[in-house]
Amino acid sequence: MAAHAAAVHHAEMGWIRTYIFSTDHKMIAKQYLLNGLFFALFGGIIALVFRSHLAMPEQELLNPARYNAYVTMHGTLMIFWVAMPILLGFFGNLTIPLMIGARDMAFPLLNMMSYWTFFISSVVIMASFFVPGGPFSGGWTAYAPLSANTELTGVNWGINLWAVGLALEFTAVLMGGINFIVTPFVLRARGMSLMRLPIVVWMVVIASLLFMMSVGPLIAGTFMLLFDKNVGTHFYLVSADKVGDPLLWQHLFWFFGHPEVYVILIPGLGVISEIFPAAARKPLHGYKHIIFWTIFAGILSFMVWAHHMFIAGLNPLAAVGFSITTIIISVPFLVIVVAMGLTLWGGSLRFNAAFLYAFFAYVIFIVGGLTGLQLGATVADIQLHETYFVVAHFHYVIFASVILSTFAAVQWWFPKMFGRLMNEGVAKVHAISTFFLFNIVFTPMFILGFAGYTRRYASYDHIPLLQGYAWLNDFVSIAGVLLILVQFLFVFNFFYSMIAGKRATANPWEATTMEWSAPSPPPHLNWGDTIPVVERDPYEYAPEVPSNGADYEPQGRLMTMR
Amino acid sequence: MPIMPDISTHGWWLDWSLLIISMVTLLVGILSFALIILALIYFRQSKNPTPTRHLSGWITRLIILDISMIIFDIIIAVFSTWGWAETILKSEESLEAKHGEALTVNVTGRQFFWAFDYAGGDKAFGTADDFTLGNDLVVEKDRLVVLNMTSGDTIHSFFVPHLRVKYDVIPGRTTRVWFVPKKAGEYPVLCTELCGLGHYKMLSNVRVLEPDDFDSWLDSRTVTLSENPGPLRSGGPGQSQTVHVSDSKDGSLGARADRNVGVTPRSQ
Repeated sequence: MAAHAAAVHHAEMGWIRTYIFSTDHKMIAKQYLLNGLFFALFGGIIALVFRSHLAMPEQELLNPARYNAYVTMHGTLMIFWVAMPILLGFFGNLTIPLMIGARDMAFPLLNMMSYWTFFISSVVIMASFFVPGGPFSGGWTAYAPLSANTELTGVNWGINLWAVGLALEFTAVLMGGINFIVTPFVLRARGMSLMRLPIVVWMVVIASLLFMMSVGPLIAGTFMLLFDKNVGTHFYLVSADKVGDPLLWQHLFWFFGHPEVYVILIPGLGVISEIFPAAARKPLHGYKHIIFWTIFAGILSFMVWAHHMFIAGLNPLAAVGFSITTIIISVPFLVIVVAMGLTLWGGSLRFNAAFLYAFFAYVIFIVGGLTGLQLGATVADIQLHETYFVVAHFHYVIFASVILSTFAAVQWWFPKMFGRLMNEGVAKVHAISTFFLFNIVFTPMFILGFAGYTRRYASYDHIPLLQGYAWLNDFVSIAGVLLILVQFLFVFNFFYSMIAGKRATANPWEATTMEWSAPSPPPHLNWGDTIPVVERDPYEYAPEVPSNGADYEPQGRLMTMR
Repeated sequence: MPIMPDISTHGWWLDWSLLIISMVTLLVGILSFALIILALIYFRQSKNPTPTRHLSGWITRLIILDISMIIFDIIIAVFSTWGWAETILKSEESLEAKHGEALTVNVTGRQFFWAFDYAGGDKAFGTADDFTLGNDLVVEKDRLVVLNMTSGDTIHSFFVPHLRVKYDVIPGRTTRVWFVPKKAGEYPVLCTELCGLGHYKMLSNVRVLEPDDFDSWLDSRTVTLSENPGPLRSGGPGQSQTVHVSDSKDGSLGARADRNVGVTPRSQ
């Protein structure tokens, strides 16, 4: 039946409408994933180049201007062209319709437009590598006036393309976000109440809402930046007679930027919460707590943005207020993390590769969260702001939520994308080596930060103050190169398994949520001649009275139409 | 900790707040990881084939964890705000009441050097004996120093690791930092806000002189200047090179520093 439906789809739609301009949510999810993974690899290789430059400055791999450009593009690409498409575009598109028992997104055509707008934005940002002056080099945060004045960096078209690419990318995610918010509210299967939605769906909905509410000021700010640079306005630029305010950009950027951190964090936490119950064979602990505390964290995330600006000229008294809200935001995340931990506690853990990825993401996220508390203390910023400590902190947060939970999600939902399983052994080797190498790279950066290593320096060799830890910085560079090289294990595993992986059954992980009731891979419109009906909560592992003899109860069943 | 030795009077607050916050965080981290590792060992499939569907006991009550987290947060907030109140939040009046009259220096950050404007012997800016030093801040030991900082082009950040001082330097605004150095010597200044291709070479130093040395240094500056009117020249025992920075003293930002300056070398 599944093959039949797929064949009908092919015959109806033709090759181009099936694989290129597809409105099928699963195909769009795959497009987002591949596009995101391409940039993840590209952004990783950029990091490999600039860390090699730091380790071997005598080789002159980069000049200082190119170094700044590569650091900038690493950040820009990893946040906006890796995290956003994968965590929203891929997670949202793949999971929402299948998990809520829908046949597709609420607005499939808008969904297709979302991806292709994103594709155009990818072309625009890649084009910036080939224009005179090279790509933008003012840091991914693009602080004005450095970003608003060509004279200061020597980059002209790079900045324009950066800003236009970003605005296009935001538009794409907004279009996707409309689908992610509307679909779970209007297309749920019978019996799927809101409090029965799988956690990752909730997380994508909350993330999309946060993104929608925060992105407006930054799109406006980006256009003001373009006007300042090209038209001669003075929103951010200061001159003798016209006084703009450089801090305006920082406020606009971080008013978006902090909710944005949660936009790319909480879908990752959602994936972890999805895999933990299945691995532990017991229900998710504190389902409602996780949802409500995440919403609380989302609201609070609009009140913490100035913690990026404690020593940036903000009123020092305001800094105290923002410090306190920042410290308060640890409470919801503690509850979420503890709920995940208690899900494991008392369980019967199956160490499959997806669980390893999710577990490592969980551990790394805890370190990121705790060091965030340190940085949330105003006084710590005097010594630690803009040092490698900050670099280590946000890599601990973002590597966990973006990179590792993406690996977990790909490993977990690979059957629903390609009908095959990824190789468990290769994935385990990759997970363990990535985890250890990641820690070897970024733990020393905490120490370097204390020692006064300022970030975004093209070389440290000429600073006598820092020579005591030069060996450690070199060590970080070498480990960093290895960390990027082992990622090719994943690339290999991904493509090899896509072609020659073991065929997957409908429910290889013995999981409960609705997507595992669909065939692997689900046909176009997902459910064929059947209608999904939801009967219980999403994580019914270890039921008291199992109805099917297994140790889990699927969330619903498929009813035949005729 | 690998943190640089502290030579300021306020650094004590910062170091202890940072140490206490770090230790509390580390403790929570170690406790969490101990529990997580225990979970992995005791609840693996081979060891515990039958999962417990519902956990019981006080530890599973999330409310208890909320309260303990709030206590943990209060500890951090109190130490953080305390340290902040003793450093950045201090008003100039209360500082002068405690430490005596301040040495005020106007700082201008530019691509890619620092200019330090002194009021000279008469302690008033805008007079004939004002002078400017490039990439060399000379201060007196045990005397309050107040820096009024602004930028001539883009945002820089003034960071002296040993002095526990870091603050952004912003065009169109004046930001203020203060410190009281308690050890003579030479300490590096780093720029900690990406400011362009020479950002990593935007180095300077703070020279802390003993009170007697400082007085004689200041006198020698004044003598040199009265003999050499016109563009400022280098002189004095420190042999610092003086950079001519146009119209930075009145705070206006009309003219940009010569972009060819690049990284201003210090003559030794």
